[in-house]
Amino acid sequence: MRKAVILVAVVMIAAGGWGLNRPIINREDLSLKAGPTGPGEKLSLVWVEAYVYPKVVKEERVVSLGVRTASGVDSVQASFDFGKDAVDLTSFNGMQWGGAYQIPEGVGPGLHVVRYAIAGHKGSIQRTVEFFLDEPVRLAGRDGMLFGEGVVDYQGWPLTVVSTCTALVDGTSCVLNAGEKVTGISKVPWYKVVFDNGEEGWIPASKVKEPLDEFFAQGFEAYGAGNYEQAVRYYKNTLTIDPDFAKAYFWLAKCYYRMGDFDASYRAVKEAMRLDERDIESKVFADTLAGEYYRIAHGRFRQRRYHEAVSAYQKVLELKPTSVPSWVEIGKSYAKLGFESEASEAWREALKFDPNNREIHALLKIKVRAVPEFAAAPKKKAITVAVPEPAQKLPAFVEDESLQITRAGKTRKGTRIEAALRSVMTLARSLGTPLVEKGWRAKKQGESYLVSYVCEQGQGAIEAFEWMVDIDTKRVTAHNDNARVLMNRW
Amino acid sequence: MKRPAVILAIMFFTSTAVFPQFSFYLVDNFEDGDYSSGPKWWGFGELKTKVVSNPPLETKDLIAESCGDYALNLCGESKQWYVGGVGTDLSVDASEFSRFQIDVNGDGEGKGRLKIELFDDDNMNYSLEQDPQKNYDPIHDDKWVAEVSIQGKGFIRTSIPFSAFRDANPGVGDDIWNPDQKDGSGGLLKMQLVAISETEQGKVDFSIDNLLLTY
Repeated sequence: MRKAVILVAVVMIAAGGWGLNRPIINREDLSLKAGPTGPGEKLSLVWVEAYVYPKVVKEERVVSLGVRTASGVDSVQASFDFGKDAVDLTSFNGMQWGGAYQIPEGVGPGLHVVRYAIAGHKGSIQRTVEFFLDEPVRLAGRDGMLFGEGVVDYQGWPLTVVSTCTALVDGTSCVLNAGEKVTGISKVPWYKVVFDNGEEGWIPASKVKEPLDEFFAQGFEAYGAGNYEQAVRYYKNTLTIDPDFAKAYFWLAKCYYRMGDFDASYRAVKEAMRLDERDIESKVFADTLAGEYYRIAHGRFRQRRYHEAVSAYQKVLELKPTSVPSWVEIGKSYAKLGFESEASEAWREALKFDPNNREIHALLKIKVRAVPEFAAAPKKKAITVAVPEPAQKLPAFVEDESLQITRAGKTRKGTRIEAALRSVMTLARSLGTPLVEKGWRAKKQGESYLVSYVCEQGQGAIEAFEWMVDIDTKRVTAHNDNARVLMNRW
Repeated sequence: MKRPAVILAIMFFTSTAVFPQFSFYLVDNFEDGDYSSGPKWWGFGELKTKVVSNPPLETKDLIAESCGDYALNLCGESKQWYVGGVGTDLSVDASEFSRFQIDVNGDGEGKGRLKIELFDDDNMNYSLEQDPQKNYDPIHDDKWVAEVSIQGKGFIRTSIPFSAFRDANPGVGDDIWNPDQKDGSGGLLKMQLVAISETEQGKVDFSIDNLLLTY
């Protein structure tokens, strides 16, 4: 917390000199939940906006917390899924609340949430906002320091000599034979350099300061100023120094995108994602780029230029493999080109992401079943669909709460959802349907959580009842036909 | 690698004195009990303005509850439909927003319509030049208009997408909805609310609250 206090102090000094109109906040870097309060909440506000910045927390391990309301509230307190620490946000007018928090050491990487308790004179509401704590980059040096943080317990790593060589030890040399084991404590590559007098030599890379940060910062500045071609040059410079610098590829992709060169942008963001599979920014950007390619693909499809459409859809699916419309339309394009098996394969892929999509069922000539049939007609042809695994593990309390809210939710007739499900299962079994209940699952979907109750019918056919849950407003909405029928009839 | 931009952004953010507008821009909710400052509203025509206390809630009403303690009451009589109006300066970049929202309480006997006028800067000078000889219409900038009905008692929330605003002065300005603050433009410069009575010689009496721009 001390760091946060210092940070706030610095801010108060810095704010005066900072150009307030300077666009340093990129919305893509912000995790935000916003909208009016809903029925059933204890405070009625025309608008509430809660956010965490940045949404992907890296080495700095500091987050900015904020809540804005359209009318004044008494207090805002933030708490986290990983600890009991609570942060009181401060405000000068009761409507704009802010604070900062240093994430303690020991908090593991992954998805985390901050929960804001917003209290007014009539009660309090909550808003839960997610952020992702990235794996810290550990740069092992001679002193075993974790870059920018405290000392880590570092013991070195085993190395095997692969061919006979000479080692320098205190100014003298000794011979090492192939197969000998030594312990590595520091890796020091060398730079070949040219001196002012034209002579060439070698310097350990650790002894020089590389302009990586400068190039990256210059690239960022050029990008911010709209000089995308210049920014590209800076980012390419960073890649000359560090060819595995994923962030440089990410920004290159953004520059090319701004320049309208989608293909170059596509290649760069693909490289960024290859180098850092967990980088959310690249994935978010890939999503945006996929949208552009989808527009192109869809246009070609409508113009009946199916070869070109297939090519563009392939790019969409490389960037966003969950795009159901792209799977459907690439399948249709294949079908128009006479590639029936490719078309079926594409539609089956689509079905994995949207098992209840009637259009796909029709394309594949498969009949769709609703819940009553599910209970009464076990002999129909089974549709085997893969239930996608959750992309990220939810923080435990978020998962618990979303499951609890769903189970306790009521159908239109006032039956608890859990009881209604039991009743459906019993009925299905009494009609001779073999059922294996797989239980409850929760995963993040958009701004809400998707809670499903999954069971397996005979022949491996998976059925799910799905609801969207907002853990702040406690609203539960049926998300698929099974759940809709359950909510309306039980 | 440290990310200086992130640290700077967090520093920027943490200052409670400066808050970026992410999902909404509150024009006014009159909770300070004052319409002459923060922001300042001016009146014109025969419309009388005063900040009034919102009526106590008799039943659970989420919209009325969100209106808080005060609203701006507007009342007056028309001779030929037109009663008068109020306006305020905005000078905001509204390009990230897509609609205007307002709560209206027709708390008096008079009904009618409320014309909402938005002005975007087209001659890149952060100011709206108006012609006093021509009903104070803009000379260089666009004027966009939409209307809402003033209903009976109780707050009613109306949300109007910007796409529903029509260009009220075609040929003046660039006739494009561009409320962004780019290339020296002042963005969305001003808002005016004009009251029109239901009959040619009628009365309006209503309150407005929670005016905001959002997405």
